[in-house]
Amino acid sequence: MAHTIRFPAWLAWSSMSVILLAGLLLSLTSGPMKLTASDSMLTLWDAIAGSSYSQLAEYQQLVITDIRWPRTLLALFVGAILAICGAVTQGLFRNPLADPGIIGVSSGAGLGAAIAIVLLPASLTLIFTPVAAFTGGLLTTILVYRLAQSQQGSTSVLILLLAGVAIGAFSGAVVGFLTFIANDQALRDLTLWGMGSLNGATTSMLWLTALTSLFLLFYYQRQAVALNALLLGEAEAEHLGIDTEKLKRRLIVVTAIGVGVAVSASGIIGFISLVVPHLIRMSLGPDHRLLLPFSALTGAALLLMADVGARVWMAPAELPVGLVTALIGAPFFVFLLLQQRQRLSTL
Amino acid sequence: MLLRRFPVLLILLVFLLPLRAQAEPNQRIVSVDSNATEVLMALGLSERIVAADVTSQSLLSAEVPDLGYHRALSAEGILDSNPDWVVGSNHMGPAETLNLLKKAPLKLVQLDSPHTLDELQANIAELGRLLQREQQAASLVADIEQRRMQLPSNMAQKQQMVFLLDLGDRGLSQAGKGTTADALITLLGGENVSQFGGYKSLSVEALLAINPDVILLGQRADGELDVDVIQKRHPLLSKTRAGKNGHIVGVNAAKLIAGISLGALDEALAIADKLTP
Repeated sequence: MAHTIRFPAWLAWSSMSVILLAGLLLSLTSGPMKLTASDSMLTLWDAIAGSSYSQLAEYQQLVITDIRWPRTLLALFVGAILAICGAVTQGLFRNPLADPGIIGVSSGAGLGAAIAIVLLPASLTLIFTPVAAFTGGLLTTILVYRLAQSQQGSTSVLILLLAGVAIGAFSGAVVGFLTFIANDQALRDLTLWGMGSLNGATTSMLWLTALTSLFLLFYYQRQAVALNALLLGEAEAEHLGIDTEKLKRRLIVVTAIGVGVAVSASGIIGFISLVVPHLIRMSLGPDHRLLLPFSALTGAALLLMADVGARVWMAPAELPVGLVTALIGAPFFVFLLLQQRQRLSTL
Repeated sequence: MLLRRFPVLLILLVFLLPLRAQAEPNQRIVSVDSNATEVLMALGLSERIVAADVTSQSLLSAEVPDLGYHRALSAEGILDSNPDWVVGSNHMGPAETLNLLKKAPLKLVQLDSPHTLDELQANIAELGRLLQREQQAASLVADIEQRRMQLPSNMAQKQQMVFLLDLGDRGLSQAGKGTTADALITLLGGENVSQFGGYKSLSVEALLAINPDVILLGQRADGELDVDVIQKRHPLLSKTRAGKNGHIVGVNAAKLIAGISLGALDEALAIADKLTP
């Protein structure tokens, strides 16, 4: 392990906190509207403390309190959820290519959203798209999981992965059919939904994602040791006294719920769940007790930065944030792979 | 520096104040619909447009910030231009952005995307009333009324028409009910042979079976409309009745992106000209 750089934990904690804080400040102070950083922060302080230090006009204050602040929070929560779910999925399947999409949750959510966008009247679309996406994600995951269960009650990871791919292809075909029969408006809504956006930061969505991310952090942390044991292999984990079937079932369901919530809040945002856990594993090692919280922190910071990019890049127009994460994420992933090629090829 | 000039500034301000009060309210308009942009320009408000969506950009002579696609607007991007008015169609979005705009101190006008000249005239009257250009709006409405007479809308025998959108190498796409192309066919006094909604890729076999009287060929590219090139790529088109009678007409599809607009009316008149011997 001499050729991998491992940071000491205190350094990792402090640098990650600094990065996250910087991301928060950047997200609150940048956007298409040019407002000074101090004005932005004063406005926020006013909104929290009820004071009136800010010199900004009403519509400028609205930008901070009603646009940037909710978006920043949503990016934080969704980024954390996606990354931590990615870390758990990779650990669960002992497969570095696994991301939550592989158990069918993304494709199912996409199908649910497509049904809501294309088949429901436009007035209902806004409310029902998140619900349908969540339901679709959960149902597909349960279906994939059932397919992978043998009569003896054990779960084959290989069949799970293959079933996930097959169900993914099938939902893709149904989405394709819905695209074909969709009218212009639905077609465009569907395309934009598929690229993800943090625009929909309503109060209820913020609460939902906040509670979900906190729940995931605590729940997964309690399973961290078991996940470490699982890295040795299922049989070995059983010998260590872990009920692997129960562990797998619980983790899959919880992950499906987590990703379902994230997808229904923001559409499909790729690469966070794949890249972030790798990044942490390469710098801090595979111990889930550190990997999980750090993935959440890094995912939150990364999505914050990506959303700043999405808002500023083409300003005053706005890019879908999923495009930005994929544009940054994919080349970065290749870079990581090249860095670690030596080590990976011996695995 | 500023302090020393303060009295001068004050005097200037005192002189300027009554001027400002007399001039009509110098309000800032953001237009996120090309149809509305055309109307605003015709009402003499082009100077007031401070930002516009991507489809309006080519219409405006002045450089204004591009707000992008009107279904994926950024609330902050719009607020950045500090507009008094935001004018768009019922298609503008997303809903989250609209909710934020409704909270902001500005007036949001959403006009129904018109499918008939009557609806276009209603929109013009509405904009004229809201922006205090009633007179210009009335004369524009009357002008449309006059040009409507030149259209063959009221022919006894309805001609069978089809609108095909050229997608380059990906073939042709046929316009169904509810599209602006369908509304254009109605303006031209024709009957759209397509029975489905939206755009569907074309089956040439079905087209030959229907054998339309007129084929309208829409092109997206900004370049010259070249009906011959498309016909060469799809030689079977010339076997239809429309092809035999020379009634395959090019249409600038860019004029049809925001419903029946002033530009679409111009286009309809040009087509009618080509169809009548």
